[in-house]
Amino acid sequence: MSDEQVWRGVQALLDDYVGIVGGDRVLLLYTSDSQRSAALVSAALELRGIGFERVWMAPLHDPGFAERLAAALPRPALLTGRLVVLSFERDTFSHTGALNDALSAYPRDRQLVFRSNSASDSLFADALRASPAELSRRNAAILERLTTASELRITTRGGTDLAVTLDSAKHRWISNRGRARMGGTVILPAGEVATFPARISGVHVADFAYNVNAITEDDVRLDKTPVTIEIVDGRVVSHACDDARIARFLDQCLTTHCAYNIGELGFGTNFRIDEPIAMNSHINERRPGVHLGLGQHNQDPGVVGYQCAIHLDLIARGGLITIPGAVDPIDLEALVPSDAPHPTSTRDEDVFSPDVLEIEEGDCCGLLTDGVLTPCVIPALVESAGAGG
Amino acid sequence: MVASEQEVKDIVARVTADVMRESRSKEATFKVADLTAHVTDIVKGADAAWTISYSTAAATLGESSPLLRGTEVAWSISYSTASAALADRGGLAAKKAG
Repeated sequence: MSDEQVWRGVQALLDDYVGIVGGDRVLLLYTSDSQRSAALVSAALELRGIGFERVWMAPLHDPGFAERLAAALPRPALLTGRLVVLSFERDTFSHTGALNDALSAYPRDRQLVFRSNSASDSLFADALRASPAELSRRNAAILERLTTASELRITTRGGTDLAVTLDSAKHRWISNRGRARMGGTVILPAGEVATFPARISGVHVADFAYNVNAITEDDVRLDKTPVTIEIVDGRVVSHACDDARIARFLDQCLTTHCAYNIGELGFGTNFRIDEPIAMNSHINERRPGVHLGLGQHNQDPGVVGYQCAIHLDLIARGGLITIPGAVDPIDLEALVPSDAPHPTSTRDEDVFSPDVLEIEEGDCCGLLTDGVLTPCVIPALVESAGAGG
Repeated sequence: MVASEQEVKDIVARVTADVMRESRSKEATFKVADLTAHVTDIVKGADAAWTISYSTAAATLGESSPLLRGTEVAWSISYSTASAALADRGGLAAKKAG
């Protein structure tokens, strides 16, 4: 990728995602591993004459962060425009509590928060060059068809063949499209819809990359050595990879309690991402294609029945989603954007059901939050899941 | 007024150097010992819990950083599991940030 592409991505962040305007006040947070992202965005803000404060943070645990944050924030009474928070980390997602506490002093309708845990050249040069408007139309195209479907067949050129049952009345959908809501947090990179598969069986061939919620220097690309998993009733019963290192990694992950559960069915929609990158990141899973998240699920506590420390995404290149009775399958690599509004509560009210389909804006899978890799917190359910596997 | 390409490069180079100095300065005041409590908290978890350790490598930071050059290593963060069975997983164990 070229310097020019990276710089264009910086501009796209400010223009397409933030919609920066004069009078905005920007708070720029960064960890040392993301110095470059912080520097590029700082330079772009300076060139535009936008006022900003930059705050360094140690990842995950930083006793002095709250104090530095408070010192950098404007007095609420002096804030005349929006308060825009941009944070950059490469592997972690730190200090959410301290940030929320600090922002509670400001009106929610004047806050915009964008956070990235995949800071890199590719974030700017590739992922951020797909605008929220474009991603929204693609996410809508998937949601408007799948939220009313119950049975799917998903296939890929690489050999994935899955039979899936959805229960959209029970399991929420998540749409990550980079669209900012005042007072909310946007996770970058954007471009994915996901839910929990009520039932799933078949074979999944991850021939693009994996993404794990741990810190690793390993090359996560799978385009040369795909991972194949066999799934029966929502659980991985066998796995294989010709690469010995990756096979050993899978052995370790999948023998950790809960990690053999399929916790997420995800569809990447970021059409600017083409080839896999070596870095463990969310960028790969936004690529148009199907991915399965093993381990931690994306539902509210109690809905699924287990909590897991590990979330491992196995990402395939592309995918065809066939809905019985539908004329055309959904081709994730040739998705036709929808002109319909992005659904928020897509299902018409059904007087016979109290359930309202919920589509949440946010991220679709396990993040490295303040506690990172939180141990399982429901021992009884964990034991139950383990006994069944 | 639109900045010229050279002006953009100059600003990016200056700000990049500023950020690098800023990071190094902050890291110098941040002690690895500060993380002891955090490590302890995590180890108290279930057997699949993970430990975390940090070390700085600020000495490797360079002074100059032309436009869009790769960022030098500033941090090393390591994870390992509390379970002996998982301790030798190798590839998942460590990562340098930067």
